Amino acid sequence: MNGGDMRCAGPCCEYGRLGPLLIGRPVEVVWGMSHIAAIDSQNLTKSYGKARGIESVTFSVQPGEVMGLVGESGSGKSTFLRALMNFIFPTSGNLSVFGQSVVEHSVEVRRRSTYLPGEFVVPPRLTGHQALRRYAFSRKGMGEERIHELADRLRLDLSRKVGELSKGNKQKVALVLAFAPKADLIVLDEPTSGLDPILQRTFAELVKEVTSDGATVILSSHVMSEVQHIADRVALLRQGKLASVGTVASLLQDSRRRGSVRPEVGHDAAEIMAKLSAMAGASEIKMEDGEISFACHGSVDLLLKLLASYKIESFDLAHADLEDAFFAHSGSEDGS
Amino acid sequence: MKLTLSELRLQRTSLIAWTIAVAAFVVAVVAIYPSIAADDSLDAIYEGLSPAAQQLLGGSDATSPAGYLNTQLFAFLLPAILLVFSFGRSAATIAGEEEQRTLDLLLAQPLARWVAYTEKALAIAIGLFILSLGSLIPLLMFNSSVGFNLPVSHLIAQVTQMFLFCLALGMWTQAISAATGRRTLGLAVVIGYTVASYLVYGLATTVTWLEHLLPATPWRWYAQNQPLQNGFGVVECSVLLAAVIVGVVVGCWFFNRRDLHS
Repeated sequence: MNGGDMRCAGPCCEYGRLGPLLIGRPVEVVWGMSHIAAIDSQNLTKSYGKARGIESVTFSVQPGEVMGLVGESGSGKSTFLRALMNFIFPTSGNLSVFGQSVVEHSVEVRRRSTYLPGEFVVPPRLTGHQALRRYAFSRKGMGEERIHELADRLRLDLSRKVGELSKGNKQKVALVLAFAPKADLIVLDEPTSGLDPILQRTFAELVKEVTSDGATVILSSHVMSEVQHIADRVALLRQGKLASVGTVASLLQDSRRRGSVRPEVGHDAAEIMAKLSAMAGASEIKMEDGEISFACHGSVDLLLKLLASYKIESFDLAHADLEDAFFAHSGSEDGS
Repeated sequence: MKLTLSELRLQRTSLIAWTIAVAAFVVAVVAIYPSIAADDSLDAIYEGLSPAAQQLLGGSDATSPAGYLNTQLFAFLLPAILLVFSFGRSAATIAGEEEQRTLDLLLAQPLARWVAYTEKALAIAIGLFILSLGSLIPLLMFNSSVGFNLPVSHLIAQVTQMFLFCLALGMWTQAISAATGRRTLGLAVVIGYTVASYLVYGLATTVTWLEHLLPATPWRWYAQNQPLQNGFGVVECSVLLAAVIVGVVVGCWFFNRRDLHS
């Protein structure tokens, strides 16, 4: 993760021990040299009358970072990205890209950015090549060599008409459009929709390559596992509000893991249950057919120490994943 | 100009087809003239019409070269064909793309909205200009051979006023569609206005109070000075050109300030 403009932006502060000092105060911390945030959203609100947009969204993204926006449908992910591209105007708050307001300097912002829309629609009679020409005619640094390299990697035939392509192949054209030009910021709305697992891996490689070249990527997805593997940090949106923002690791730290333990026959399962109940961070402790199931937050150190004094037949602890973290923060335990 | 070229490239097949169709229609009308020129019965039909109908159909003289071209071509049919093109393109260029969800990708490029708007408007103007040329060239080619022998400047004046008339209405269609993001709204408003003003233009010859509304009808600025007989109407061309410019400015202003539909 990059240093620079540090802000505590939610209940899950990604800046460790500095966090309490920064809470509620947008403070710029200089690590060697100062720089401007790639994206800086301050109290960004977009209302659509009675319909929900986004409300007081505050977070920043550092240059070279991959930021994932996750949330359910209608949580405001696309609204945020569309505001970033100046397709919609904020009702209040500020949104800037590399220090420039997306409203006042929209052309300059888009000059430095590429965009992949949530739904890639182009006139079906255009070939892939023609679509690239039409939707990137004012882009610089988009050479034929780069286009062909990307098309080869994505196994895409650009001479075919877009109307004849499958959803996945259309999405590949969109990816070429987003990754072929030289851009400082790449804005991707549901980028892997329709891609098979192999191409999802290629996509992850592309993201890695462009960020290693200094580009910043912001992507939205409802596929938590995808974001978990690609993003440096994640912003969780719920009903238009920022529920949490932090590194994937810090969100996972906060998230709940499910586990189970089966004591050897003759050992006192009730005693283990009692100790688990008293342990900080443990919850939902149940016993069924001699197996104790539980959920726990945070470090497993206490748990392992507690269990070490018993003879255990089997023990299982699931990896924390972003989906659990998301549902924990969104208050929907069962994911429904 | 890159977007204008892209628009024209995208539409080139249909533009070629439109131009051929318009030129073929003009050739067909012109080719019939020698067989009608000496037939007074056509004049008799037009003279029997009410003044309002004569005004709407281009006058009572249907056999003189200017009268024939007026009644058979320029009073209604040819501008109506060009209007269909103009309305369709103008409504589709911003609002149509927005409804089809292709506008986001276009505007994701480093292109100010007003630039995109004006470049798209320019593409429509160029398309209409090509169609207008498609109607003018056969007239110039056959001017002598079919016995019109009209001054070339008068033919150019007539086609120029028709071009500006169709462009002005097209630019207002684009403006309303782009301002609201609704293609059909722009079409409904401007087609409604065009039809209503056509009736006002005709009926004003018999209903005196409608004369006051004539300046608000584009038909008055297109046809009342009879460019085929009298040549360029500087005031008429200026008014139509002003309507084009105001339409573009108004459309740009609103389009620049609104949210795009997702």
